[in-house]
Amino acid sequence: MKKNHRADDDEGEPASGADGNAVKFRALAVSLRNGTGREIVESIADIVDSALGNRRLLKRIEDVLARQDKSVLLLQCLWRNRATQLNDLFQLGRFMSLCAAAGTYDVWRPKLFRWLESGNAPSPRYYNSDTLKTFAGLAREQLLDVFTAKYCGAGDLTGLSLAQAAAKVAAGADIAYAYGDVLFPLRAGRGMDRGTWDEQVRCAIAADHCATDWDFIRSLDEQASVAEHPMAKMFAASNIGAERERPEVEAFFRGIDTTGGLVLCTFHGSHFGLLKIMYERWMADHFVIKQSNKENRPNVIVTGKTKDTAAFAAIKALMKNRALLIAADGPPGGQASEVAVFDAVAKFADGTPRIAYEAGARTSWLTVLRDGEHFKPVIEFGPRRKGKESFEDFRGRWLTFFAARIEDLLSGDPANLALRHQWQNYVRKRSRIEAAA
Amino acid sequence: MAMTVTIEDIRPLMEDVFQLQDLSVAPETNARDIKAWDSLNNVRLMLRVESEFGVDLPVDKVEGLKNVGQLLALINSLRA
Repeated sequence: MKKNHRADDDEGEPASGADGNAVKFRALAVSLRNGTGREIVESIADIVDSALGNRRLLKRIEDVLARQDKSVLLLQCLWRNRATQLNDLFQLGRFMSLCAAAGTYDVWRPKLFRWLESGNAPSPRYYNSDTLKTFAGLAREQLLDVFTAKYCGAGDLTGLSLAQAAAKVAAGADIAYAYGDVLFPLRAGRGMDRGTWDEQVRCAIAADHCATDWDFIRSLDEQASVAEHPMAKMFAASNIGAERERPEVEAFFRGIDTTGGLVLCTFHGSHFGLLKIMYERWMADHFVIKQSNKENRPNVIVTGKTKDTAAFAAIKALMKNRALLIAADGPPGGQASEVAVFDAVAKFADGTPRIAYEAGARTSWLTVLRDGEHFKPVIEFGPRRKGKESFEDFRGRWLTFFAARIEDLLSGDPANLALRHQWQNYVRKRSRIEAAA
Repeated sequence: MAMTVTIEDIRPLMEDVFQLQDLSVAPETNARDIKAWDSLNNVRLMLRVESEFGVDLPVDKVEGLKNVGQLLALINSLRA
């Protein structure tokens, strides 16, 4: 599986404590050396039970058992605890991956789907990061099975708009650990009860996933036909993609003036997937910056291996009056700056302000917001380098602008709040600040 | 046919971008030889080369440049 799910990306409930886990892992090690098969399974079960939703521990167990060539015991244990373990999309994906590695997927698959489709299994919950793309490392059959498992509980999506589909899929969306406790109070007095807030956030996450998965399956179909797959057929028969095709969306992007170059800054916290889909469909002569990309499209600037060349390509594009979309809250790989977002520090790479500064281009904030039964892109123009202004001064003005837009979203309409994993650390920091207070 | 661009043509650009005077430049000179030739100044140098010599440096070619001699060869091939 791809490594988008980082080792520290345990978005579920907190673990039961590092010390307790260490004791359990020691017990597992002992039973692996001396115990019977049954004792080993019991040791694993003890960890799996305590690690409810904790992805980091699952990976550790996998590693421990793989070294002993006993991965099959983990399969048995996950299956025995399927009601609590396999109702998490990520863990379901790992289960499939383990089955495939053990050469037993054909044996497990019918059991798994009989259970999933029996009506007794809860729909697997999915977190912010669990878009289908993050499962792209699985074999095609398992990837499509994850797709089916993710959406099979939502019922028929045929003919439904993105907003309608999101409402049906929202039940499986899980607000990652601490998000609600940290973000809900930011609304401070703007009347909405926590239950309604949670429900709308789940809907926002669901919309983000529906749009992103729709686009992913569509692109997958371009590489190798998946159109006959029942779930792919259902997505194709929905109106999820119609959100992108609305005349208002086309007119919005056609109306953006890119004279002098325009850096369109966004962040991984609103309807990010839908924004990219709309931008790539309608923005004329556009460029996008991606961290890594297997595609070889001329308008994709890839950072990662060669940041210098990426900066050169980006500045050149801007100097030719092009538009450039950057998720400016991406993980800082090189020089970065800190800025307060509410009362916690967020860190952003200097790449975005640097590119805008060197090119003398305009900057802007671009995002997609819920608009009744639809979703609309919105733009707000930000700072541009003034004459001989120093980079430090420009960066300061840009950071203030960017952080203020993020604060608006974090404390605003929960129907637009679909934070991706990039914001996990920030939420943890705020959580600690609140705990200390 | 355009005049060939030489080290003497590119030296003032490098001095300006790197904020150095009386810079010694040879075909073998590369980023490791000049402290100020960091990644940001490299981007600035390429942009100055483009505007000064009227060339459009392809990004994939810039990626592979190892030294000043290769940069000159690229500029001259684009001007030919």
